[in-house]
Amino acid sequence: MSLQDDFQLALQAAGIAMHRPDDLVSDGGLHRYRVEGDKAGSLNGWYLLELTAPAHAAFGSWKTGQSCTWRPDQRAAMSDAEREILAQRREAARAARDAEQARVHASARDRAAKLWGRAKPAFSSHPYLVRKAVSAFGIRCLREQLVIPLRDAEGNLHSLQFIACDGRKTFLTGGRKKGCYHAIGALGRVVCICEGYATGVTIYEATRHATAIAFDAANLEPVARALRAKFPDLALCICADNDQATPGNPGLTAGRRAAAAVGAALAVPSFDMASHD
Amino acid sequence: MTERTDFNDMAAVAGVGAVAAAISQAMAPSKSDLRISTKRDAEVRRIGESWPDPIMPGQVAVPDLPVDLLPGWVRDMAGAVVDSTQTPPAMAVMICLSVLATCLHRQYEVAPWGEDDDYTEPLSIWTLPALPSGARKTAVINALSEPLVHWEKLERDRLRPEIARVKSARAVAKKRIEKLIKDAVAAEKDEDRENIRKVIEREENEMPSEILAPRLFTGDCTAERLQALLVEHGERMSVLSDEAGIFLIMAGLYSGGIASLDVFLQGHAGTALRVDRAGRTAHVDKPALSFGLALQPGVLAEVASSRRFRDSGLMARFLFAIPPSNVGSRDVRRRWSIPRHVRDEYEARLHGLLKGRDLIAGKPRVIGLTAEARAVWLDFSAEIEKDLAPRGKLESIADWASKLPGAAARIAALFELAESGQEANAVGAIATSQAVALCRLLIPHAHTAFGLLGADPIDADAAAIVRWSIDQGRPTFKKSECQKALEGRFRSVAKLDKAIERLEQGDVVKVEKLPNAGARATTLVRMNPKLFFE
Repeated sequence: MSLQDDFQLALQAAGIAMHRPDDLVSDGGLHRYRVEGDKAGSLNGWYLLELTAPAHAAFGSWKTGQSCTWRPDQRAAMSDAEREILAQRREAARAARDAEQARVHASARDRAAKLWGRAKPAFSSHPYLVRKAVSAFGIRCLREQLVIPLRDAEGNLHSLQFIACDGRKTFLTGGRKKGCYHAIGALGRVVCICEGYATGVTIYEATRHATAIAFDAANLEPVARALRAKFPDLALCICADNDQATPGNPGLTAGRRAAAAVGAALAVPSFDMASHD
Repeated sequence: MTERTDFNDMAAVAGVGAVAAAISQAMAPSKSDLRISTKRDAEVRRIGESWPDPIMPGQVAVPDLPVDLLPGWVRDMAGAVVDSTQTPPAMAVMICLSVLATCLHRQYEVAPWGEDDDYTEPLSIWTLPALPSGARKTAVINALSEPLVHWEKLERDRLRPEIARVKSARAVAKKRIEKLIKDAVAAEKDEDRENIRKVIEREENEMPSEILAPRLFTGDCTAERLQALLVEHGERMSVLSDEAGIFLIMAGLYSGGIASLDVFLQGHAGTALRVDRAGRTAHVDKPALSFGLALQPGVLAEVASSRRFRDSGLMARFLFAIPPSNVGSRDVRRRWSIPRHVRDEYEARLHGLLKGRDLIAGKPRVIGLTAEARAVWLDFSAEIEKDLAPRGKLESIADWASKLPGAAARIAALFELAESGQEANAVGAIATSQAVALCRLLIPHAHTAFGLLGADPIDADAAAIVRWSIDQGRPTFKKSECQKALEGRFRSVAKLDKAIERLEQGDVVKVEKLPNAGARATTLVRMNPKLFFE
């Protein structure tokens, strides 16, 4: 099996195989490609492949946020010189990826601003909001999808989340998510941080505390850190999801980590009272 | 069942109140914030073990009462009313209970130990949801009681010819008796007089009884009028109202604090009512009286602050719901009507429960609990009994909580009859489990009601004392010290005394007088030690 084939297998294993594997270029530069299954014209996948020894690659997806590295034989011993070369290449790959990511984020910011400008105010009669029994707070509607802005702590719009009528959630491809959130309510003495929009509105309506929606468990800690840096004197409360049926309870684990990182309180939903169901 | 993971799911099953409580609990200050040293903490903890749990003024977070706890068609209507009026579900749940009781009380009784046992509970229910002015209480009561009004109209129309016939027959008979009396007086012979007297007697015996169009509920009336209504309408009556009138009458606010409470107390228990006063008699063998009162928390606080009212036992008979108000956060652009099919189903099922209702009260039908349902009910009763013990969770509201198992049995029977219709033979485990779940959720609401919460300024003063005591780490202090520290709030001793008295009622403080030789006694306030380590 050639090194190219081995690399293609790594892409497949990561779920971001190339739509046209023959286009693979191994010049050490950053290349973007259409991921198998994505729509035509999209370039969500990226990679840097260097096949001269020591062979090395980095790859990922702007759409999913994945970022991985590859080496043909992890067990093969390297000389000090090879290790040095590999470190330099990795550093160069990181720089190239960061530069490309900055370009992708900038492009996503522009698209987010355009789409946000085209979207109309959302109403609480949207099927998703009705099903979740929550109201619309600072969100918009575009082609029957709810549009929720992702802003950084300075208020800059970076990306958008779209929620379809059936509850399917997607993000703007290439948009920055890390440390971005959607804020609800006026700032008081407490800020709650949670994962999803419906959860955030429920918390806000129940407590009237300003609430930041971090969109997923992995983003709880970055958002908590951003808010702690911006509001060092405010009390923060991480309102974690309780994914008790999922091994490892990722919601609670991420919530604990975020709370510990910024010295926040941790609130976890309990469903004991629902046992009669 | 969809997997539940987040606070939105929690709100759907337990209400936003439970969400608020969970987050408030998470944000509660840690022990280290309470400024009590570790060494002292052990000592305070030991002393605290002999204190009951305190009821904090204005600080109890209550869960909402989900409409899911109600039987199918009632749940659908309650949910639709909640959506339509944008009111907390607790309000609709409580009024639904009272509406069901209105249809079924006096017709049925529930026997937790089985139909052959002599312990029975009538199905009268007293509910008291409290929401501030402008919370659309009237809209909820109107929507849920509309079928009762319609049923009264249908019955009135159906009975109109019969009522007219009886009315005219009685009028004729009365006039004829008047004439016969005159004839008897004028009769010259004793024999003629005796014959006329016999005719009068026959006329009186044959005079048809008065028929009144049936009434299911009233809005506002006095205790005396309520007695009359019970006599006139088959020994059963309900009061469904969003006005405080009758509640204030019960509290004696219109009668110098001395109200005639017997009709209320006996109407809840179903014990015989006998009134023999000049110009008024009322004999009711098994009265059934239900309440569905929606009041402002301020009214409740005003009345509840009367120790006398609580001592009468009336407060203990109400099932309270004091949900967080959503006034100010409603979506004014949203308007959902109650779906026609939901409304129609609700009315048809309620009318079904009223079918065959006699104008004159007969013997109530007794239905028992199934063995499985009884096990659920007994578990709950045992749980409550344990918490009623000294220093138990329910000790401070023992008068109310001791009636809770009985209320659970009543609600279970209402749920079963609502679900299965009048042909229900026994109360099943599902209905009982739902009733028990509802009763469990009602406990924090009762704590709130008895803690005299709401928009009461005395609560705010009392809470300020608690905050000061904890912030300063002062589990014991002189009253004068407190007044000096909080002089901006307590410009008069009387205001401070009221706040301390409120705290004393909730077992938050104990007050002691320390004699001083030749001087005025010192008032010492001891805070509940549990506040300093829980």
